[in-house]
This record gives sequence, C-alpha cells and structure tokens, in this order.
Amino acid sequence: MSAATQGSGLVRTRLEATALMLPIYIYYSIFLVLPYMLMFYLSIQRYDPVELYSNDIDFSNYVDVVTDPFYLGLFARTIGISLFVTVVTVIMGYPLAISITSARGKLKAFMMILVLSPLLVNLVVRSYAWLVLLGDNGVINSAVMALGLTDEPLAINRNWISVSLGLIHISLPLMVLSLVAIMERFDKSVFEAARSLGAGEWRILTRLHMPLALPGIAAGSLLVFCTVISTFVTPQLLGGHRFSTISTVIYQKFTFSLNWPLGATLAFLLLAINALVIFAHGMMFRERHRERAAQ
Amino acid sequence: MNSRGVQLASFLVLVFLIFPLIVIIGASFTTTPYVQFPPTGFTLKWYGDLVGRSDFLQSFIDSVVIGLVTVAGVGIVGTPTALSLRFGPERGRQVLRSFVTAPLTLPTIVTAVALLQVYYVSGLDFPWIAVTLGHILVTLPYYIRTLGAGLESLDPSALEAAESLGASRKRIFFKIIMPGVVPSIFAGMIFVFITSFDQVTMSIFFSSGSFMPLPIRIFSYIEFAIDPMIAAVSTLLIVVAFVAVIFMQKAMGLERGFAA
Amino acid sequence: MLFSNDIAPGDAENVVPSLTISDLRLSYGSFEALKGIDLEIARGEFVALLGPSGCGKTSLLRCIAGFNQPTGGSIALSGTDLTKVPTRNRNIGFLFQSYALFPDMTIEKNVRFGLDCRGVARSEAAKRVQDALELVGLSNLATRYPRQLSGGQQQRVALARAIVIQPDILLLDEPLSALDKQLRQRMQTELKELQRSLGITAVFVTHDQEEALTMADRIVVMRNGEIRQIADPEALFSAPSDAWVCEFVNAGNLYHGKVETHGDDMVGVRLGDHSSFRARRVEGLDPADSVIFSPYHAVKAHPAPSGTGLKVAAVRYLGLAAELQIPDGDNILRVQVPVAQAHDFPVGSFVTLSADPDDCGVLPLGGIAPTGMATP
Repeated sequence: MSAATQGSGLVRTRLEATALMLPIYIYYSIFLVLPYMLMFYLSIQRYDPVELYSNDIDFSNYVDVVTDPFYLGLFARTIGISLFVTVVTVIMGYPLAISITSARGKLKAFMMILVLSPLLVNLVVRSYAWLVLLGDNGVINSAVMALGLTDEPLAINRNWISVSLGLIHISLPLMVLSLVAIMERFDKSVFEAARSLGAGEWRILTRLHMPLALPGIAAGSLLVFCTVISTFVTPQLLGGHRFSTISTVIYQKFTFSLNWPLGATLAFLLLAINALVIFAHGMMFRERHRERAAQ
Repeated sequence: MNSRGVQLASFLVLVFLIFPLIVIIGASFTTTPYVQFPPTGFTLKWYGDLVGRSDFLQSFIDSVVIGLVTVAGVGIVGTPTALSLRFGPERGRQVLRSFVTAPLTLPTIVTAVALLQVYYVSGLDFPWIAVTLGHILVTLPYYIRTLGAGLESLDPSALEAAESLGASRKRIFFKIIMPGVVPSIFAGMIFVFITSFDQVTMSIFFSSGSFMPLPIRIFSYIEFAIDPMIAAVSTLLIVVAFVAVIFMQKAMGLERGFAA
Repeated sequence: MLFSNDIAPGDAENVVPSLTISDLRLSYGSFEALKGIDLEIARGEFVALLGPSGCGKTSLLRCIAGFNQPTGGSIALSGTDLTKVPTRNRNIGFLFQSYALFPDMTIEKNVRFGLDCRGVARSEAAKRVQDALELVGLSNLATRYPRQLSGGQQQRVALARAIVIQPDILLLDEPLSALDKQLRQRMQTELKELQRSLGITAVFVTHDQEEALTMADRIVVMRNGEIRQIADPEALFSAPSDAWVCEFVNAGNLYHGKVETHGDDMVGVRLGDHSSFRARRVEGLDPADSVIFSPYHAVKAHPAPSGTGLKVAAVRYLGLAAELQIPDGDNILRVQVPVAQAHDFPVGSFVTLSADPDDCGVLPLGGIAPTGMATP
C-alpha cells in the first residue's frame, strides 16, 4: 500500500512480477475467461431439443426472457427476496455488532466464534436444519400444534418464509463481520463528545453512529445481496418447486430440461444484476473514498 | 450505546444463528425413526447406520481427496501470485488484485455452468478432475487474500535490514518471509479445504450416481427423506467445522482469516 | 448576550459554579485508578491535573464528566450532587485529545449539535453558533467539513462546540497534545484568554508541566491515583512537596548527603569532598531520610583557580541558559548560568558553588530511591 511495501528487492523487475503471475494467468484463461466466452456464445444460440443447441445466432433468448411474464416474475421475486433479506440482516446484525464491538477479551472471542461458526458449517446442513425446524412435522409445527394453537401446520415451509429464514441465516454472519469491521474503527470519543453535549442514546444512534457506520452497512449489504441473489442450495432445498429463484431455474435448465441456451441467458442476466449492483455501490462510495483519502 | 435492549437483541440474534445447529445435533440422538427435537431418548443408532453406508463413506473419501488436491493446486498457483502482488511493482497492483479476486465477485452458479460447458465440449469423462479444477478456481481468491494479509503484515524494514546485511534473495525468502507467513499459509489452506469440502454449487453439475462428493450426497438424500441419519452426518460436519474455527483462531485470529 | 457570565461582574458569583470532589474512588477489579481524591475548585478557576501517564488524571476528569462511574465518593457542582447524573444532563463542555468532531456534519452542524439536544429555537441557535464561531475565529468556515480543516482549526471547532452550550464547567483532556509545538503554544494562550474572559471554571489534564505552568491558576500533581500536591505554579517551583514532585516538574537540584550540623532552623549537609549545603529545617522531617532541594536559581557558580574545588564535567545548552553538570561524590550538581557566561565555565574548568540557604529546603523522598536521583 505505502511506499514502504516496495522494500526488499525480492521481485526486481516487472518481468519477474509477471512471471510469478503466469500460473494464475494461464489458469484463469482456461478455466475462467474461456468458459465465460463459451457461455456467452451459447446464450446467443437457439435451443434445439435434439442437438441441445443450433447455430442460429441472435439475441432472441434475451428478448424471450425479458418479455415473458414468468421470467419477469422470477426476476422480481428473486430481487425482492434478496432486498428483503439484506434489510433484515442489517436490522438483526446492527445490535449484535454493537455488542461485539463493546465486548472485551474472552466474551468478545466467544461471540465472534458463535457468529462465524455457521459460516463454516455446510450450506446443505444449514438448510437441512431449517427443514427440520420448519417442516410440516418439524420442530416449530409440532410445538405449535401440541400447544393447540392450530390444527393445520403453519404455512412456513417451501415458501418465501422458509427461503428468507434460510438466506438470512447464511448471510447474517457476513453482515455482522462488515459492521464489526467498521465499528472497530470508530473513535469512541465522538460519542462521548455527543453525550457531553447533552445527546440521548437515540440521537447518538441516528445522528452519529449510523451515519458513521454507513460505509460498513453498504459494504455488508452489497456482500449479502450478491451472495443471496446467487445462492442456489438454500432456495433449492427450502423453496423447492414452489418457490424458485433465478439460480434454481438455471439449475433446472442445465440439468433436467437441458435447455442450455436459455440457462446461459439467465446466468448472464444474473451476472448483469450483480455487476450493476457492484457498479452502483462503487459510484456511491467512490466520492467518499476520495475525500477520505485526500484528508 | 450498548444498552440492555441492545444486549437482549444481540442475544436473540445469536440464538437465531446457533439454534438450528443445536436442533440438528440434538435430533441426531433421537430414538424415534423420524427427526425430533428435543430428542426422545438417546441412541447412537444413527451414527452406527452411517458406518454401514458405503455410499456415504465413498462420498466422504471423494470429498477429502478433492479437498487435498484443491489445497495443493491453490498453493501452487496462488503462492507466486500473492508474492508478486506484494513485492511486484506498485503500479497496476490494484487492477491485478481485482482481477485475481474476480471469482469471488462472479456468482458461483454462473461460473459452474460456464465450466460445465467447457467440460462438455472437451468430451472428457473425469468428473472429479472437473470438480477439483472448479474448486481451485473459487478458492484461489481466499488463499491469495489470506496469504496477502500475512505478507502485508511483515515488517518491510526487517526485509530491508536483511538485504542491507547482504542476504541473498533466496535467504530473505526462506529465512525472513516464509517463517513470517507460515500461519497465514496454514490458515489459508484450512480455509480452502473447508470451502472445497463444503462446496455444493460447483460440484453438483458434475455429479452423477457414480460420483458424488459428500455434500451432494446429503443434498440428494434430503430431497427425498429427512431422517435422523442425516442429522448424524450433519452433526459430524458441524463438529469438524467448530474444530476448524478454533484451529484458525489459534493460527492467526479469526477476523483476519475471514476479513483479510 | 451569548454567554451567561457576560452579565455584570457582581452577579457572576451566583452563576458560575464551583466543583467539590470528595473521597472519590475508582477501581477496575483490583486496580485502583483513584484512591480517594479530595479537591475543591473555585468559580472561574483554571486547574491543571498534572502527572505521568497512569497517574489517574484522565480517570478523574472522566469521572467529573460522567464517562467513568466512580466506585465511591462524590462530585458536586455548586452543592448539587452529580454522582448519579448521566453525562448528558451534567451540562459540561469536554475537549478531547482527538477533537472528536462529528465527521459527517459541517462545522456549523457540529457546533449546533448541543443546542439541538437542548431544543434551542432555530434562529437563536443560529445566532449562538455564529457568535461562538466568531469567538474562535472560524466563522468563514461554517460550511466546511472537519476533514477539510487543519488540526488547530479542528480544535477550535471543538472548543466552539463545547462553549456554545454555556457549560457549567469546561473539561479538557490533553486537547493540545496532537498539535505541533508552535501552534500548541499559541493555542495555550488563546485558550487561557478565552477561559478568563468567559470566567468559566476549567479542569485541564496534561502530562506537560510547561503547559500546566502556562495555563493554570492552580496545579494538581497526581501520582498512582493520589494527589501529591496542590499549588499555584510559583509555589510548585519554590516549594515542591516532596522529591518526586520536584523531579517530575524539574524544579531544581536534589542532593542526598551526610548531615553534618544541626542548628535550630538550619541543617548542614555534606555532599562530597568539596561541597556542603545549608538549608531550612522542616519540623518533623529527619534530614537523614530526606533530600536537600535547591531551586536552580538559588545556586551560583564562580570560576575557581585550576585544581581547586569542583570540576565541570559537561555543559548543556538550554536556550537562554546553560547548565553546568558538576559531579561531587554521589551527586551531580546542575547549575544554570546565563548563556553569555557559559564560556567562563568550559568543560574541565574548576568552580566553586554558593547557594542561598533561605531558598533551599529539606524534602521528604516521596517514594523515589535516594541513589541516582541527582543524576541527569
């Protein structure tokens, strides 16, 4: 970052630096760039039930998708649930991040481990846990019915509720990490100054704490949104056929219906949404970064 | 700021994060033939059943082998990359960094189906190689960032001091740099192994009845049945994950491992 | 009028409050940060809390502010007990080392923040903010953001923000330590003048004795959670309470020697082969367990013929004065001469010393080891 990192003369020339990068250049060329190019090529071909695809090249797949109410609904649903999950993780993550930031020593380490552990538990296992909790004969429904609150199982499985819960569960740690990262950098005397000037806790939270945390909220939201919108395992297991998202439809196109051109088109549109969100985030926070850097 | 209300909310959120995992662990000991929590009675029957399932055992072995090969591949490709990013010319470094971490920004499912086409076009029939190549692709950025963080935290004046004392590049590399970043490499490799071992999206397109890494085996199993045996295998995976967390915490501090 | 104390001087007594701290204690587990502090601060007084890091001066200030909750004792402002009052209701102005400006608010909004908290009407708030910014000379920067300002300007904004709410007391936690030396000295003067013209009570934490001397009416010297001495700057230098304080504020020479003569009010102490000092006796203090203190100005050096008396070992230039370092026995005597006379005392030359016994005194050790104390 700084000029100091130049040191050591370990890598002396640009040629040497490039030579060290050669393995990754080769790897990415074959297994990243080439596949994406091939997929784009595929997405502008037509589906053929016998040959998988025909060599008629046009953008008809894209046109089909954006004019078909089914796919428009699919996109709206996927984006909608991703936004919903993002907002909920901010609301749930914020107090937890405050607690972690103000905790010390062992308690802090313990809380961090609790937050991070789910990240390392297999996605399938975590989705399975929610199946066990939310299923018609699951933990929650058994409890509710045993209490006589209802005769019918609650409609909490294979719909937006189960998918949302599963997605919140997998993305919340990412949000908490982003928030903790920024809150750790806060100058605590700013809040003490506000207190000395007579500010109550609510005013401190809304006027100071949250504006200061905004870059962290934005970074966390970006991370959560992009993770959630592309996640395949959780909606597949918790939504099934009754609540599909772009990812689960892509999966179907490539495995069961074998309509690869359409699958490739959907994949590219998913990529485009991601790119758009990342770009928007970059635009919104570039000014700020530049100002910060200039101070 | 950290009022009682905030603490209560934090506690509830932590419960939300951990409770599902506790349910699984509890359910794996139930004596009922269906999943129940709190469990009825206590039995290790489901763990016993698991031992008898040769398909699960084969999947487990496949996953471990893929994980180890992935770690090796990531080390070979990623280590020189991290070194070059740290010690190479300042100019253009930022662009290279974003290029190198691109697979993190790209949705895994999109990368997976893109690879699937290359695999299909190539006409090869070695699904586990395809899966491993895919795993290397999606875990490389993690390794490079973790090792990069370790390299950044080296004291540049220590390297300059070694050079001023007449140390050769080889000596600087082996005596100063490597000892300093062993914890980062170790943490990065654990992280890569776990990520590979848990990877579903990248693996599922290449799997078939004869080749199924463990997460895919569980995935396809629970699409049909939810029984306590899956709770048992899940519990084993949770235990492994917790051990790994503690290992990483010891090796380099958790936050650095994740947020590098 | 902007500030409450701009009213007729006769009324000021009733408006500007005084601070009473009694037996204040603060502990973290087994560590006692404050061990029973008693302190009275008069209306309009500027008091400096001086001490090395870890002495408890900042803890004391933060207890007054309410940032730290004391484990015992009380703090009262004009007779009203503050101990259980939350910070936001204490009506204090606090200046931080890091300025603690609100980064996402303009200067104007920063200064207005406290008025908003108090529900001051918009038009009145605008006027008071304007007045406060004028007072610190920054009214032209009201629309800027803190990061666009220099360190000195930021500290001025913090000052305006603290005084615009007409605080009962101004608390300052090393507010100038992040500034470079010249700016720091200018701000010291400005701050002092402002405090005097507003007539506001102020408590100032610093580890810099020079700063304390420049600004404070009274200095409270602290060590290990206790008050060692409360004195005005003059008294602190002419009569430090013990050897530790003397050394901390660098008030003069400390000698440890052999008691040779006892008089009714004087003791004579031999330092080495060539020098002895006479000093005022202090009742109840055993000269053998004590040290002789002589302020720098009390000791005079005279050139002596070669081979007689003491030998100058080193000369250190301190600006207007030069310090001669003259070993004798276990002690090193430090004598200041005007820099113009320094050439009369080159290294290796011989000197005789004289000191006015009325200026010298006997001090308790105050917890420092007797050997080595006089080494430079």
